[in-house]
Amino acid sequence: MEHLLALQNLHVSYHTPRGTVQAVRGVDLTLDSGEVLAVVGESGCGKSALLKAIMRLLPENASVTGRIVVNGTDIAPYPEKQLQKLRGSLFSMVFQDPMTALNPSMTIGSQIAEAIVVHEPKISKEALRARVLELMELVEIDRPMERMKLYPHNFSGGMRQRAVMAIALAARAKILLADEPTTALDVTIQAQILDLLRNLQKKLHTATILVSHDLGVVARAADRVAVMYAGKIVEIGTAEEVYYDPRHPYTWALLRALPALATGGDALYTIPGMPPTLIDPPKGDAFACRNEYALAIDYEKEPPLLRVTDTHYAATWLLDPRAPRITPPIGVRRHGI
Amino acid sequence: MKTKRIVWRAAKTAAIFLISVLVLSLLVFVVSRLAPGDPLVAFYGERAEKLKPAERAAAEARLGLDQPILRQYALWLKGALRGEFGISYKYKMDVLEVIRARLPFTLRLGGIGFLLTFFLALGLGVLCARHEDKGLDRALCKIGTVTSCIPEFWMSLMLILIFAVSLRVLPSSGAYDVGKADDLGSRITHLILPLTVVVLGHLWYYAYMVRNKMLEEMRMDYVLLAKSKGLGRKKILYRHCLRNVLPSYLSIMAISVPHVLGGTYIVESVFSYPGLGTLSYESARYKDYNLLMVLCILSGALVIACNLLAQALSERIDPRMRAQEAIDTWEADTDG
Repeated sequence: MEHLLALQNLHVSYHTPRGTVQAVRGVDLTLDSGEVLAVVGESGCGKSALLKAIMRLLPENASVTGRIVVNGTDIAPYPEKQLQKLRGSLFSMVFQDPMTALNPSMTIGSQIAEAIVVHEPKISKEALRARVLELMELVEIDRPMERMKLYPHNFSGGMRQRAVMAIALAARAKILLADEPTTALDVTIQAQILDLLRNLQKKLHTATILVSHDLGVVARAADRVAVMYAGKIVEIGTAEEVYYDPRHPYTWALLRALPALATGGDALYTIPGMPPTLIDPPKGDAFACRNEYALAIDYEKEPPLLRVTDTHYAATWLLDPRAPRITPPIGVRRHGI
Repeated sequence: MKTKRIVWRAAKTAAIFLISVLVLSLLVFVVSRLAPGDPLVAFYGERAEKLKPAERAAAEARLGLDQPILRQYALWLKGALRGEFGISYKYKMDVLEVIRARLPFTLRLGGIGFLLTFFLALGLGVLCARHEDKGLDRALCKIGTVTSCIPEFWMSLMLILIFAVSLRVLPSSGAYDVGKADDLGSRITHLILPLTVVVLGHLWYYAYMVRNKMLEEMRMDYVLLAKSKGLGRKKILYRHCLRNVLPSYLSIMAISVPHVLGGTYIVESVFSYPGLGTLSYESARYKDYNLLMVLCILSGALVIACNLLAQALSERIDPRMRAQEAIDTWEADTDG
């Protein structure tokens, strides 16, 4: 079956005065229509760069290589003009901080309207107005008639994020890229926005890539989960597989660090050390030096993504038949490796 | 409720304006009289030096200069409130008449200079921001740095040297050729050189400001959102970024009006342009008190009015400022 979106060997590098930062290092991913794929990892693991690379929203000092295949067509070599037509209509983005993502001096209504008009320049005034109202209702903004005339500063954080979502949905994008859409919001609003994201996705059947640093946030919304570390995907599987049968030591560590899964009494688990700088990535597995289960080979050779099931892969030598058997510190099912 | 608020605000603004002008007039009055110099020189010319002490005392008494300073001020204020600002010692005419004759020249030079500066600075700033760090931007910025470093009097002299003395294409002084006061062409050719100096003197300061503010806006998150909608770079620049640059630009330009108008002083004197600049210089130099007072109050009132205008403008344009106002009045209402 042809995927809606397939990333093949995607690399993103930032050229800085201090050297080239390899933010994304060879990512392969697929996304099918109607599915929510969550990408999880620490700050700086390249998850945001990955999203922005798909829409080519990266700053000028960034370069992208690899294939970005949409419905069988590679859009990676597209020039800016052609990409402009795809932005908004094929894919659109929900940003991390709704406080700064909206233009402070334009009304909410006109910012939503603009996203419609770009792709439908001949739309009549009445139809445009109706569509703006429809979108605001879709993202559950009450009293859209009066609120479309308001400015972003009149809106709360949650309301602004709803407005940003209305903008993202304005031109009926097929792929929604959500870049930490709840990080800047407080916890009760986070849940509302996630539920809204999930409902919209069911209603409109948009495929979604949801980027987050929080496995807890993702659990609520994702069909599949990809765990990223140092610019690479280290584990990918259905949400069920990743939460209940995680195989990569990094996934174990992330899950152990979740407050909800911590056993009472002890201090909350934190992953030791810091992620490596990606100007000069370490040899072997980038996680090895922070990994209490690291094998000698981890320092020498980078593990490829090894198959667990047809949908579940993890990049750890622990999956190799020669590796020692380890009982994971977390996970519900007992299993032998 | 709303009209009451507007009236209250207008009354407050007017009160601030009047008090500022009053304080200014007192300051100018006292300072100008404390400064050394003999006002009688302006009145009698060189004869003043030959006056006998008795004649001198009589002359001073006639001009009211024998009174204590505050008493003089009270007298002046009484006249001023009736619209009588006295006569110019030098021109022996009502000071308002003297100013009325000169004002149009300054308005022409400063007004056109201001408009040109306003639009050119905006255009150049946006142009540079669009081509940030590319050849055009770098070249323009370098030219700008150099031209804004040249002092106005020197630039005036160089322009006179090149265009009036060597090339002989433009006149070096005055506002029109002798006997051709109503000839538009003559007026325009006399305006070109001083206008160039006035515009170049201010242009780059504001152009840089537009450029930097524009670049700041271009790095904002909302630009990324606009891009993700599918908007092209030009539309993002003009519809989104410029919109956020304009309010502060307008208010800064409103404040700059007296700068540009007042900045014509030096240019006017180098080009012997018969505007208020040369007049102010003379009145200060010759202790022409009555004239000096009105000129100072005029320029002071202009500064204050432009500041108030700037504030009103940014409140009208920037929705966040309006919101602040709403919050303030809401707080005032709930307090009361």
